Amino acid sequence: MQRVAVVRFPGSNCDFDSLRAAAHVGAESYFVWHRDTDLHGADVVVLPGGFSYGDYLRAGAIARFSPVMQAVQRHAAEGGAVFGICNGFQILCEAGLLPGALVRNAGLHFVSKPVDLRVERTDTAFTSEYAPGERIRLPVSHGEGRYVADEPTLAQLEGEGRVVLRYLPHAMGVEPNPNGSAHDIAGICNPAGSVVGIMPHPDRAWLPSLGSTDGLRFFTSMAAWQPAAPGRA
Amino acid sequence: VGVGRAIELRVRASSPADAEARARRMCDRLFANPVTEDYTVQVEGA
Repeated sequence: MQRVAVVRFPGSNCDFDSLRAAAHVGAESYFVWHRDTDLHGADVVVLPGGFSYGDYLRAGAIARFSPVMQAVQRHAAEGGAVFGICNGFQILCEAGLLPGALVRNAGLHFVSKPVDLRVERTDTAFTSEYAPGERIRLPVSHGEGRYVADEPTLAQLEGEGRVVLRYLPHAMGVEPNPNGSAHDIAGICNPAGSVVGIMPHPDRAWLPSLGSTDGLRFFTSMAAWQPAAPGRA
Repeated sequence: VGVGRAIELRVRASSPADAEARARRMCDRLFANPVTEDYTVQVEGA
């Protein structure tokens, strides 16, 4: 059974959503506090949404220095899976586990609504149960979700197929890119596909009573994931 | 229109160059995100 550690920072507010979603797909899920230095044998780490440390300075800027993030850095370096959702994605970028940065939405307003997405990469720890090119709808809820990176980084991400999720462009009947992200990027991964960060919230769309189950397969993919290299701590 | 922030730091350093080097390290690691932000450092006093 997959052991899933959900990290709680002061200000995390989607920690229970992620914990419940992981438990729902049969994983053994538990909380890890930001002061912890041990992930208690986690196979997967989830950095949930919220406003860690009040988003002071920049979203995710202070969380990256928390004791638990040193353990998450080691876990990722050893090939362990890490899933950053929303604020978790911002933290992964600030921590240098993923390239680029998430800045204020192009429209300057906080956006909270469902958006339409295309699953671009399916050989990651969190998207293996989607079909390549599959269209899904997930809620977003962020003020700083506009993905930016310099041109060489964007070219590298595209060249290596590391865009995991993409917003759809403006069209009839489409809820498009809500924040002005470069290349309509909604989520990216490391070269191995073991570290994934996305702005939309699958943790808010995995049960019919939540209004959508489009996000469920991020968690069933996670439950089915096996590390490539054995011998991790 | 330019928008930014100014951060005043008091550091104990052996020389102005040392103070500047420490301030730059702090900027690179925390105060600025080099992906999206630029910064300048001015050393005052002794």
